[in-house]
Amino acid sequence: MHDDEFVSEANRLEKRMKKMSEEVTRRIKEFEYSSGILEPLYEVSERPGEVIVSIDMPGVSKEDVVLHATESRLYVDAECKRKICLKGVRGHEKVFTRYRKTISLPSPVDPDLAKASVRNGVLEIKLPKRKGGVKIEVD
Amino acid sequence: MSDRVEIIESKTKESDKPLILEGFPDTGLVGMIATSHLVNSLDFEQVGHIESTYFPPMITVHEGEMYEPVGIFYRNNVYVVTSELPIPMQGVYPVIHALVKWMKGKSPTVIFSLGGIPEPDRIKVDDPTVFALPNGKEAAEVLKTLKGPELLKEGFLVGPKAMLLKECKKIGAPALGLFSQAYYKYPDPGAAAKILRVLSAFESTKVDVTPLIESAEQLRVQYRDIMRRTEEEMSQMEKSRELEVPGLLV
Repeated sequence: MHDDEFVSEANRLEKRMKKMSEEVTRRIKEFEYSSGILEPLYEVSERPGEVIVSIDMPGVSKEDVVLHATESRLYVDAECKRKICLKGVRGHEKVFTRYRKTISLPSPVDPDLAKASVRNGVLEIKLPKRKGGVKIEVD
Repeated sequence: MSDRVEIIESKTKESDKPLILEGFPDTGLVGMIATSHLVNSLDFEQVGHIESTYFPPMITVHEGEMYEPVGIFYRNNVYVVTSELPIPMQGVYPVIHALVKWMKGKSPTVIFSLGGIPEPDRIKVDDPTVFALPNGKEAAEVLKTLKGPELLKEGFLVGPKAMLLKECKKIGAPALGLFSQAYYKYPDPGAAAKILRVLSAFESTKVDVTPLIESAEQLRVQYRDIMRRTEEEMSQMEKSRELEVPGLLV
């Protein structure tokens, strides 16, 4: 592939990625405003032996959170007791009362050993990675 | 529009060695939240804006009036540059270059670049530390007058704030980065409040942060969309390098 072809291909891919990202954003906003359910910001990180998921859910306490995990997915649904009022499109106020999100995990985990805590509206879930494979001795 | 970036001053103000504060969206939107609170609480006047083909073609509408998404505000010998929009990767060099040239033209006492520094354990931190990085002796003297910040001794800085400190040094403008420990991907009003407490050393930037703390939950939800878009730009700039350790200077 020549340099100019490579640049043009890279530009085409970048445009496609941007278009997909815009599409995702639009769908999130449409869902939120039609359902009154917010899709929270979240972060997934991996440490040796565990996957850590953090989810930003301002206004949520631990008793409001429902969590389900499988080996590869985490599902969170939380009621926000303090109703969140946002000025939406064209200034119309919209009240949100829940957060909901399904998150794909980067490694298989053992959901039975997961631990979760909430602090200042940030939910943190620590999921131990599923132990697999066999140990190989090094000669 | 020459060079694809234009700093437009719609109102001229007579300033004398002013302070200049920059708060483009970045880690935890710390600089943006801090400057926005300052501008709104102390009734700063919009005196200009930045136009660039690097920004999406948009305006902000608030209570039936049009506003520029990247604004320049003024009050009591203080300029504040704040924005609804993160600077896109390809626009960082030209936008910062033009902005710094404009800032230098004001003969500032010091230019503050306000932001967050990612703290992986932010959830456990009740009182975030503010780190400071002066770009020379003049800025280091200003730092001595501030209570609280720790000198940023090691690490990487990535993005518009790094470029601003570097460009200012290049053209001899004193600049001081103030970066509060913050959530990387979540809007962090608590970190913004900490930065404003440091800036309260100056009478002209003294502001009550209680309303900011009290409305933190609402702001965290309100700023999610800007945070999402900012995070997209940060990832293109390899912002996660700020969590890495430099190897060249040991």
